[in-house]
Amino acid sequence: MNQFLLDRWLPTVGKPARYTGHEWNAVCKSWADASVRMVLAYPDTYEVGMSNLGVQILYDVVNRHSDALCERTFAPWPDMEATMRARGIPLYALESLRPLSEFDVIGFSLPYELNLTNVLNMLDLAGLPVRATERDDGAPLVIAGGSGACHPEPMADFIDAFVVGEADEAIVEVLAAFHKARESGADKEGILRQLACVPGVYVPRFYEATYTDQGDLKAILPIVAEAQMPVVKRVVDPLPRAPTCLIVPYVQAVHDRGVVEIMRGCTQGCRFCQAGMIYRPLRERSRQDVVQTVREIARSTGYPEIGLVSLSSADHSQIRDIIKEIVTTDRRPSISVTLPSLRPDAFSVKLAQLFGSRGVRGGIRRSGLTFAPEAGSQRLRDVINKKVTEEDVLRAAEAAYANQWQRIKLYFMIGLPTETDEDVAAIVNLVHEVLQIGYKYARKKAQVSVTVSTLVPKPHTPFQWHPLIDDETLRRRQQILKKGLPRRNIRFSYHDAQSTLLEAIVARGDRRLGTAIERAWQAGARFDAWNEHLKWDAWLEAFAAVGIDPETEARRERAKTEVLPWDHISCGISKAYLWREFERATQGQTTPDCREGCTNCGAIELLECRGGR
Amino acid sequence: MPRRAVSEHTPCRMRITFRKKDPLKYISHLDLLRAWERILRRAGLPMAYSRGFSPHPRITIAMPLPVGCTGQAEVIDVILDEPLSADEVIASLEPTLPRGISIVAVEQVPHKSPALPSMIRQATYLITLVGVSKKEVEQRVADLMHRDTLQVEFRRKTFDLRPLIGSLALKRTLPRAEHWAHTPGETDVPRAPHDPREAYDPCRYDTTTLEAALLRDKKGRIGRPDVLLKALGLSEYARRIDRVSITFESRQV
Repeated sequence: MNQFLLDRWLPTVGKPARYTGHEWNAVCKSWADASVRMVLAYPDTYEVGMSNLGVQILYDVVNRHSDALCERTFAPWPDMEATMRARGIPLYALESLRPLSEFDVIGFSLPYELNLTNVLNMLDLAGLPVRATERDDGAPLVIAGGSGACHPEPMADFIDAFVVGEADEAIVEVLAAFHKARESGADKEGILRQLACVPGVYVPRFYEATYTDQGDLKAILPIVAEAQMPVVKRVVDPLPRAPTCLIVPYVQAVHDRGVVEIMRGCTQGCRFCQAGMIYRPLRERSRQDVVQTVREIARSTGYPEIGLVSLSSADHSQIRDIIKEIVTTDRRPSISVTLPSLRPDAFSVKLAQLFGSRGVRGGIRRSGLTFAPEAGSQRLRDVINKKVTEEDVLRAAEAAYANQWQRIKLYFMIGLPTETDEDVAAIVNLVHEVLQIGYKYARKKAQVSVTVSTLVPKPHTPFQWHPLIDDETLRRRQQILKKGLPRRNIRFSYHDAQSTLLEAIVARGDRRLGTAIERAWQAGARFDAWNEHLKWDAWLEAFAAVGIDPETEARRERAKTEVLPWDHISCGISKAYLWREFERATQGQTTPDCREGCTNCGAIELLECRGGR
Repeated sequence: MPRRAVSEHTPCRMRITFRKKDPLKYISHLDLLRAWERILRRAGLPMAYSRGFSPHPRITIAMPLPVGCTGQAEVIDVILDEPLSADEVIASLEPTLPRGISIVAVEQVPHKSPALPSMIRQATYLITLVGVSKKEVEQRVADLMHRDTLQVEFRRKTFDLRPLIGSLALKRTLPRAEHWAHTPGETDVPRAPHDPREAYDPCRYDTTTLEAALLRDKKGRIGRPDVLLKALGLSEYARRIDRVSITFESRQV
């Protein structure tokens, strides 16, 4: 790419700084000195991608190696895409402005089901065939990772190799294996065979999917000796050094702050939560490590605010001491700390009280406190194993409003197993009770924002067999909420039914879905997660063309004995455990937090295997 | 290193003149303000913050630069909690400046001096036009300068641009070489579906440079180079807009 060409057209697109790079801490390495050149590709906008910790971690890990180089690219917004297509500008990497086709490896992050069409679009904008088998020896190798790699089948036609699980160490092994194979003169097939030997790597072309006469999936089995069966996800232990020289975007990112991953994994065991299952087992970063990392990030980035992130940050065994140490000792310049989604319980109340005093810089930021009770009634919270009582929620709200927070955000879900209309009505009651407490402290200024999403059953969770809620019931329950909630001082939002349905289909589809994704993309589907861009008709036509009925696909209950399209991928948790949890859910039985005693899901063996390797 | 102890010194106002160069020309005004806060924090300078729920650093950029433009002498005022010498400030800043920002000068100004934006008198721009003949540009400039009024629209408001044009003339110098510089090491032809690079080879076209001095009137309206180019009908030929200086009341910074 050439700067002159960009200068001609960038002024005509929105937010051009998304496409220019040169941020603080971006690494521009010598092209000639690198023996393996990789570009991290994020299938969403720059602002979303730059908020992704995985991108920052892998960028840091690869660029630390003297003979490897890692750059970045993001999905261009439709105005930029139109310009690129009209002017023949290929998709390029931000650091060197080189077209993606010049790299050895393109590494996609797959964070979410609703941006898969962007992956195809980015390959096409790079001038590459979207189908893996149509890219020849000269084309870059296309790999993918992230949570989407735990269920790789829908993308099996397009991606050469998946890295399942945590890539902190695996990415280096993959690049080394690639380099070695290429040096030995191997062709693409040969390189992929070498990669297939790296633990955690899944090369879809080395597995064959077979179907019954009725068209049900019968099995997915390896067809070459190198292919692993099952492919077991990678884990790291202990957590490697956290990146501190984070790239600081100029364009405001979605999460515009520094971040430290304070732990990985979660012990709560919420049955709907894919992240809670696939990131097991729990590994904490020590207090000293967190505090030091926070200081180094503040120094190297200049961020005034640093997020202590994990799936459930209040669960870190030393969270109070960590925050205390940061806000009491780092006063000049002071650092504010943010915690994502707090659990609404007694401990979070203490955290709120401890750092909620008015006007103190270097505390927890006071712009909205988020709690996720997930369900309105105690019965239903037991079903999903969300160990929070109504009293917890109300006490958390009390503490928050009493400490000058004026707005509380509450997250709920509908479409949960065994759910009735009464359970949904209970959401309305709970929200009103919270607001009453708000009135007591903040009078008319008290606000509650309520976000109600629809449960999309995900692979590797106890609800993977459960159907997506049917349309009629969904609408009725949303009506219950709409009627009960939109009064003064309550802000209510819920998820779009079409994008939920699409997400549900893609989340549990098999390899045959690839053709539908390709057709939808050809018909113009992009940025499906952005409601204003979702081209539902394109998807309907694509499903029809490949003989998928979206309704049955999403709303069908899976049988216990059914072969699931992700059975050959192991996240360490046994299918028997997930089924047991699903049964306990329907009986309303809770399962204790892993910290109270191992519940024998199997994930801990991942660490033991690791020790033996 | 700046002193760390919190002191009861009177706050001090530092005026920094800096360049905003090519790599950063697409950064918007608000993004630049945020970038400066981070630069100053990285430098460990004792920035003063506003009070309240969400404290903001007390920094003021004299004049927003339109997205896509470079600036040779941009000015920012920073309030520090304790006095530091200009040399100390420069020494702290240097290692924390991103590619695309460089310091021209730092000086301490009286804390009570009026806000920078209110002191602007005029700004001078060099505008490089590519792909349009010199004759054509001369004609359009002459036409425009002969007019007494020039109604233009900007952000849904109509106003007279003519009194805000202090001077407008063709400049004889060639554009600076960096304008045409490609990415270092970039010599390969990109493997694009079709390569339109040739079509934009600057050497194949006429290149003209306009020098425009745009004024600020008593109502606080300021002439903008992009609005001027639109009025000239030359927007699509502008390849570089460089603000070379900002003139303030009483003296040039």
